[in-house]
Amino acid sequence: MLPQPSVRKLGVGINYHGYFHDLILRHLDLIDYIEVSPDIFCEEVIGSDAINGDQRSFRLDTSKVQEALVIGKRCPVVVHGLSLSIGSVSGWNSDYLNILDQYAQQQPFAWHSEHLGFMLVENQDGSESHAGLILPMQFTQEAVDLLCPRIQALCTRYQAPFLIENTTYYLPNFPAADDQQWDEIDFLNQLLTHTPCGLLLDLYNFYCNAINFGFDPYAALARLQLDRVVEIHVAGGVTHEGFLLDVHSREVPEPVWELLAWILPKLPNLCAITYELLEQALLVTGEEKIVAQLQLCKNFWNDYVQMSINFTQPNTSHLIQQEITNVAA
Amino acid sequence: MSLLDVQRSLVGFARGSTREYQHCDNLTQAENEWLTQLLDAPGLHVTQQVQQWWRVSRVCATAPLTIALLKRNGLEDLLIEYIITEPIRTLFFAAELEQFKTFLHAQPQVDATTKTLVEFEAGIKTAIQLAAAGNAAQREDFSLWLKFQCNPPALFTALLTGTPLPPVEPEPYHLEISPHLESLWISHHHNKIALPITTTA
Repeated sequence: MLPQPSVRKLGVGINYHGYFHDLILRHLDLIDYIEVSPDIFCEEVIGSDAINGDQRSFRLDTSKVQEALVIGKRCPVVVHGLSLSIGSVSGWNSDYLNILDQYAQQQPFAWHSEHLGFMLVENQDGSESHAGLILPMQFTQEAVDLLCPRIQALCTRYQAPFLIENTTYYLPNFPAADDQQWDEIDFLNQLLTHTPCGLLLDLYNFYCNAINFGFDPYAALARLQLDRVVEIHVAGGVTHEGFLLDVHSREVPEPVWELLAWILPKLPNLCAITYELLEQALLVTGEEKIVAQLQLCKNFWNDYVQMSINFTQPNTSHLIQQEITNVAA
Repeated sequence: MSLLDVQRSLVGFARGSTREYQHCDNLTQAENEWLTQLLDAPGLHVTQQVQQWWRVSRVCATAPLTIALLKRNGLEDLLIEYIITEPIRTLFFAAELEQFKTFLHAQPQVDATTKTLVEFEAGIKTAIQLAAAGNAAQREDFSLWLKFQCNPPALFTALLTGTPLPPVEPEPYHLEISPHLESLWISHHHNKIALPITTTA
């Protein structure tokens, strides 16, 4: 039995990982829900086929699922996929959906989401290549036409809402013809206009793009269909070779908190704020700092719940302007 | 469909290859110009590095003993060579380790102990998965016997603690890996059984 639709205000959550299991249980007063990537319950088995190249299948580790179900009985769950490769022209990774089907049989979830991008491609000889990370879509009509039917299908597959998430990219985007010169915001708005999906707005990803490509995130976000934002991600990372990286290894930088404070009053349908952290960061960051980050999220959430929705004009943060200047230098 | 050719080119670029791009014939002039410019974009180098970092971290997390022994033998650069020469195929730990194992086995300068050790770490990973999968038929199919020329528990301890490696012995140690074993592996020597003192994941 697949989960029934349920979109309700959840509050503050953290991405689930086995390493975080005990920490989450210790702080359920602060953590309102967990965000689960079913991919982390799996290992991929790759067989070689002389004709078709790599043959992928996932092997589900039921003990890891059972461990997560323990927490799933104590608080709500949302799903955040990693491996669908929704934007692959040659077809998405259907094995991910098989795993999600199995997980959905055991764990109800309030919604599910996926990264906007692609990792897999079919080569001319029929074999398959893997990029090793999520690559960005071109912001073109062809990409919109490819994605919309897939998003439509995901919106109905589980009787739970589907959200698409903006991603970080390090490659300059394709400069389309002048009559169809879309940026990331235009592209997201196209997807939101032509499908019923919600938006998982990753503020840190967006901040990385703004810093790396030198645009004003406030002006850009002011053009986004903010009434479609259901969930927000916040995270932190490091700068490498002039690029701010989406690695979830650090505390949330101050300019991202500023963005969050600015955008919250503009989000009438926000249901959740998730603090994302790499599992390996637990040892480096330490529980105390993680809890402090969650408490900050909680403070923002409590303010959000109290405040009346009041649209305001965009206002570029001096901290972000300074960061753009630093990276450019 | 030019989007397919763009994606083929981008995936190739992320893997450090332009061969896919050179074989694409559906690209528009604008796409061709853009892709050519990307080859010199600093963001492409960062994109390549990010996927390489993830691969290194996956290998180091799943094969810590093998990596430690490669370092002892002055062969740690093989990890870099693996990343550069072997194309990325997966985001997952066990599949990455299998690929690394195949790579190491093909290297003539890698000694038998290292090859057996990577076999051991990959075997333990498989045994853990099968023990957890709840599929009895799959578990029945998997059993792995390895031959070590030194005491396996002593070797693992030495690699984990940075102490001298145990001596090579004339009679080999036989180590069995199976999802049916409570500790997943067991070592036999001269009809004596050595149980694991630590577990490796």
